[in-house]
Amino acid sequence: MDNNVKSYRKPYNRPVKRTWWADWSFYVAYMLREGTAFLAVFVALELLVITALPFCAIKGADAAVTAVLSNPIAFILNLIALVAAVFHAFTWYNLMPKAMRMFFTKKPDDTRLIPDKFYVFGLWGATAAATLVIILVLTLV
Amino acid sequence: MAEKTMKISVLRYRPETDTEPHFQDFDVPFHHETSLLEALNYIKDFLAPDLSFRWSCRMAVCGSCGMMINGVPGLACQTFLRDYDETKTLKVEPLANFPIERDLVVDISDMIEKIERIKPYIIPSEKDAHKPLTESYIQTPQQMELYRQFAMCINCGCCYAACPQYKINPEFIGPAALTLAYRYNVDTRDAGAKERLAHMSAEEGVWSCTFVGACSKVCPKGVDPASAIQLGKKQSAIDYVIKMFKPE
Repeated sequence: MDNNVKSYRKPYNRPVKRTWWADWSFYVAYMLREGTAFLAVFVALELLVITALPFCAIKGADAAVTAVLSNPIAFILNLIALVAAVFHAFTWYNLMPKAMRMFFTKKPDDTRLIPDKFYVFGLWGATAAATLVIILVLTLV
Repeated sequence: MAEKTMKISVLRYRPETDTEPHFQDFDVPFHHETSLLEALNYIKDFLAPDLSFRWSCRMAVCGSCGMMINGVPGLACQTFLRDYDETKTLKVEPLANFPIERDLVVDISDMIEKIERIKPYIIPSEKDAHKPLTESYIQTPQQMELYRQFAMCINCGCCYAACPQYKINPEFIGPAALTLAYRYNVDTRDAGAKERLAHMSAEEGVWSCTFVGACSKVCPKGVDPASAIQLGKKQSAIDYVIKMFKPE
């Protein structure tokens, strides 16, 4: 026998607004971090064109691309892309320690974890070294 | 100490009469030590006796009074009016991303089901399955430190209210449950990682997290769910590689 007692519950689900992220600065920073992907696409396309150029047999393509890239707008876009990439690196490097959880020593009673700073400084060090190598290679070639 | 007054705007919803929630403003006197929970109790005692909200311990242990405070999830008992601008209205809403049952009370069944799903208890190995109750497990301080922080969760739901992934995709297992999955996986007394990894590696598991980090920002107990989920991704990835070479 069913005993369907009437329920007066009426749970309300709030709709998700498109601007949900605009209400808290933390979400805005996240959207900015993710938004840097658009500029990364621009740089990726640019690099694709530059690296593909020597293999293209189109007359004057080289000069055309050089002209486009030396345009002040292209320069400013690249500068913004560089700032965006550094900002993205900054946010990710700050998050990186969350994905690492290692102890200082293997001693069973030592509960000290390697501090966050260690990973963040390490990442910036690696970035600086990689940047130096790239600049060196580019100036030598 | 002279009392000041703050305007508190509470999102109200009474299922018998309301078709949708609406804000109601209250002027609440406060001093240096007044918590938001006390302010809500003042409203209930003197201004709106029908206001519903959950609370119990008053000291950030029970996890009942999670709510949106100026759009950010937090515990009412741990929030003090002195930290907010008294010239502006303080907006108090029920925890986001959960259905509103009444006023500030939400239905957290979905979170509870997900916590149950990942088996948040010690599953002993075959060797330990019949360990007599008189015998104990030995664990070093370091082995305990592996999970201690992640075991501090009080199931308040603040991390689910903060998580944009859960907002957009309610199938996502979510921060608290995935944190507990990791917490038990790294416990040396536990041998149930295989059962939990099936959920963690699923579409709605750890990989649905895009590392927004809001869960850790709002967690009132410093559990750092974002960290547990990233470490869970590592477990999931290692499990994937092992299975490639050693299929079951």
